Amino acid sequence: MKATLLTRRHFLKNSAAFGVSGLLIGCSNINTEVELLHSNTPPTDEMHNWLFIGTDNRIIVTVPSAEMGQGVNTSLAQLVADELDADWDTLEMRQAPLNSKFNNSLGMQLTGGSTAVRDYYLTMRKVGAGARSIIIKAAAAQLGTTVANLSTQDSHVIYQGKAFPYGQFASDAANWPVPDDVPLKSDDQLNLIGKSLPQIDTYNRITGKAIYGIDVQVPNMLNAAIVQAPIFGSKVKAYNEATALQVTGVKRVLPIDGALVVVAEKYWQAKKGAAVLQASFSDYDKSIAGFNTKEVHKAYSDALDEQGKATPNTPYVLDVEYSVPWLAHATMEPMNCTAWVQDDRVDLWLPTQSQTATAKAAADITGLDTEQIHVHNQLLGGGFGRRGETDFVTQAVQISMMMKQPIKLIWSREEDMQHDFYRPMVISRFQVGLDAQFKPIAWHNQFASSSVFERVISGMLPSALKWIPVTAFIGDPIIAQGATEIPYLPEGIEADAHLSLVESNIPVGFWRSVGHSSNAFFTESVIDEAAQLAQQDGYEYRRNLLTSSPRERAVLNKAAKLGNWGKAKTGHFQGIAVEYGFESYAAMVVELSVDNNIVTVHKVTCAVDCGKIVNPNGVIAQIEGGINFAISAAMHGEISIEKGRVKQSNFHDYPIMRLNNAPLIEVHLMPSNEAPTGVGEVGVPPLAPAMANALVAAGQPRIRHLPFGKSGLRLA
Amino acid sequence: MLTLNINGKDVEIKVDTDTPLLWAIREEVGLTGTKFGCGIGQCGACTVLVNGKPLRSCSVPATAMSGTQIETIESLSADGHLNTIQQAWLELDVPQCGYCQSGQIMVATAIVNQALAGQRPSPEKIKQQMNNICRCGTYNRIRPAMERALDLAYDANKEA
Repeated sequence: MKATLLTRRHFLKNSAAFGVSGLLIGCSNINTEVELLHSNTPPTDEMHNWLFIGTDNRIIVTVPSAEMGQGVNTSLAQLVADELDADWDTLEMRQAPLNSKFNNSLGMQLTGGSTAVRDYYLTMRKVGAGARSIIIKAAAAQLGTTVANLSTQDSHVIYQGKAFPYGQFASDAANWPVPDDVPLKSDDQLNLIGKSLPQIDTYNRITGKAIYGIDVQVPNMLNAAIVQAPIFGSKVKAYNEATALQVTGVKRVLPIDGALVVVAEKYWQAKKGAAVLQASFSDYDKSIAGFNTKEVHKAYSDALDEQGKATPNTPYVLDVEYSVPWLAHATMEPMNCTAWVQDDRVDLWLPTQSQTATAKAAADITGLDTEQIHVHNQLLGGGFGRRGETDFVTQAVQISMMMKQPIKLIWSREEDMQHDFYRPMVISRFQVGLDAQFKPIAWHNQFASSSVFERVISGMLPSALKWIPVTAFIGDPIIAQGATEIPYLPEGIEADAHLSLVESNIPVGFWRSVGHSSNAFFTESVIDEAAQLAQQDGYEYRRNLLTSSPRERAVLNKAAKLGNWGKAKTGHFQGIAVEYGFESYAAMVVELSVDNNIVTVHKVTCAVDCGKIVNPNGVIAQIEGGINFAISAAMHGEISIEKGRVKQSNFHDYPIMRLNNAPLIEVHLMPSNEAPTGVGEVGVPPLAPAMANALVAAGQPRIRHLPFGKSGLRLA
Repeated sequence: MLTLNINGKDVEIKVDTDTPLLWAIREEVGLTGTKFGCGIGQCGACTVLVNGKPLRSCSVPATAMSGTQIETIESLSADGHLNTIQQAWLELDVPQCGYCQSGQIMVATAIVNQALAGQRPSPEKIKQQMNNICRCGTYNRIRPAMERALDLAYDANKEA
């Protein structure tokens, strides 16, 4: 393989050679007993071990999760560095290649579900501790002393006041077996875990040096632009190849599944060629729901009518219907993938959340084994769930196969917006039985959507078993996330939630916080409606009911206190919400005002309990970002379908919040000794209901259908 | 042949008359710090400075830029030192995914340069001028970083 790809640290170090021997630490699957291996083979461009310590004292940590802005290059490396007593300033990180040893609890290399720190917390620590244990043993032997006389600090072994670099012992250490029961540091011995270390990638990200997927250069590479059938599932009918070929630099026009690709020397030439294709596509199949928003909405409503409603025998019943629309991910970096298919190997340079899914997509098309697929993960210009998909990988591989050379496929923003796997539209009905004091004592919920899970599970099943209607048996746990965990019910009363899955041809997928993004809006609005009926304050009402959920209650209390609940400035109004998801707890107080239908969000106060914290400043950043992400969605986020195609196409009609609308945000992290839990997604779910509840406090009618913009409100 | 003055150097490139400045910079000059985000001048990820003023490079043809001084993100730390804006961004650890930050920093640089020549802009004014999209939502750090950058710039100016 002649292609040279510069990873971040390569870039920094100007491709310093790997021609040194050293120590490599491997480690078997997570969630099983960690096995530490060693070797003195220096790593190639793809480092298949967890850790490399060179004889030149160069230390490289493999980061198993994709770096998409959530800071895993920093937080996961921090775990290794602390146990290893490594010098943080010279430590290098590298993104994991395709290798099942880096799988997470989902059984694959997939950065999603807010799993990075919670899944790798112990693994990364064990890697560091194991490496340190053999380094120090080798040092004792070399220095003619015992381990007890040695200490370690900043990648050095300290003996009699003298510091010896780890690299000096790396070759010898490689001969020592790594014990599998190396003790980890006690909490008071930790010196990096729990510290707000700056993000390791910041320097490159502010100097233009960071290399994202879209920036990859491979020798002899061509560029490709794509025009996908605007109607989901439709086929290419006709196009004008000749006009496209007249554009300077254009090499080929390739029809692939449901799309046309123009390949040119430069991307802009390909894009120009694509613009003159005059492509036409087959019309839509009117027999399937999904050719306009109203139709799908009606199909969902019909399914819910079929389910019928519950009639709880309680003094009062709160009977309401809610809905949320489809949402696009709109990562700042549009989908892209660079592929080079050769006879016996495929190389893929791309920003992906899943090396496993990427390799499977490439193997499926080429017929090669996954061992022959080489995934070179790059920095991601945003992920939010979109980059766990592989549609753009399949396309890039097909194009490279046809061109027999490396190609880089870049989607335009319009393609990205109109060919997403959207956050599902959901309609959700509630009949909540309330007692004489308006406390919930029965919870009935029917909701309708289209399955995300079906596509995921069918991708995992062997083809002979694909006929099994899995979702008919187990529903869709992805869409149901958060629907059944209602902490306000008395002990022994379970929430009764039924999902109707309706077939639709609108692609749906994982959108930051997934099922919680809709269900938190529903349930935390509904509980606020119950509080209203009880003529009680939303915070007091919740607090009184959360008798057996101490962690939920604690974040709620904290957010209320810090957010000055009940003491808003004149003209400002507050709303509150709390959600448990990704094993973490988050409560928010939103303070806003409304003037002539213009909403100003003044402040969002959030208390988060995510167990033990590795990098507090990084967690705060994720919560801040999640809140802003959620405001865009709640106020204006909506993908709608007209005649089988997505109406929105770019940021002018799918607006994203800008600086002028960003509220003040105060985040409080609850001190905790519990195991670390999810962070990246937990800042999203409570925002929409807290905001909805604040709008009611501000005198607006209760809004049960997102986005708020549809009710005539807008951000300044 | 088209001659562009980029980061103080004349560069000769060959492009079609309608090639946007963004793609000329990325593909012909080979500077990839300037990013493609939307292609219609909405998001600002492609912002460069032309004669000191921020410009969304996806929406102007490169051929219209001859005779101008173009600055990209790569110029700000060309001497190995971060400029005051980058220093502030580093101190406040602003970026998340970082994809939009080149554009954000170019707009911020123009604001700071303008401030040094005249009056310090109010936070309200900055809110209106810093109009680029950050999908990760780093606005809560961009805001204080902008104030910090102004402080650093005024201090540096006093010393000079």
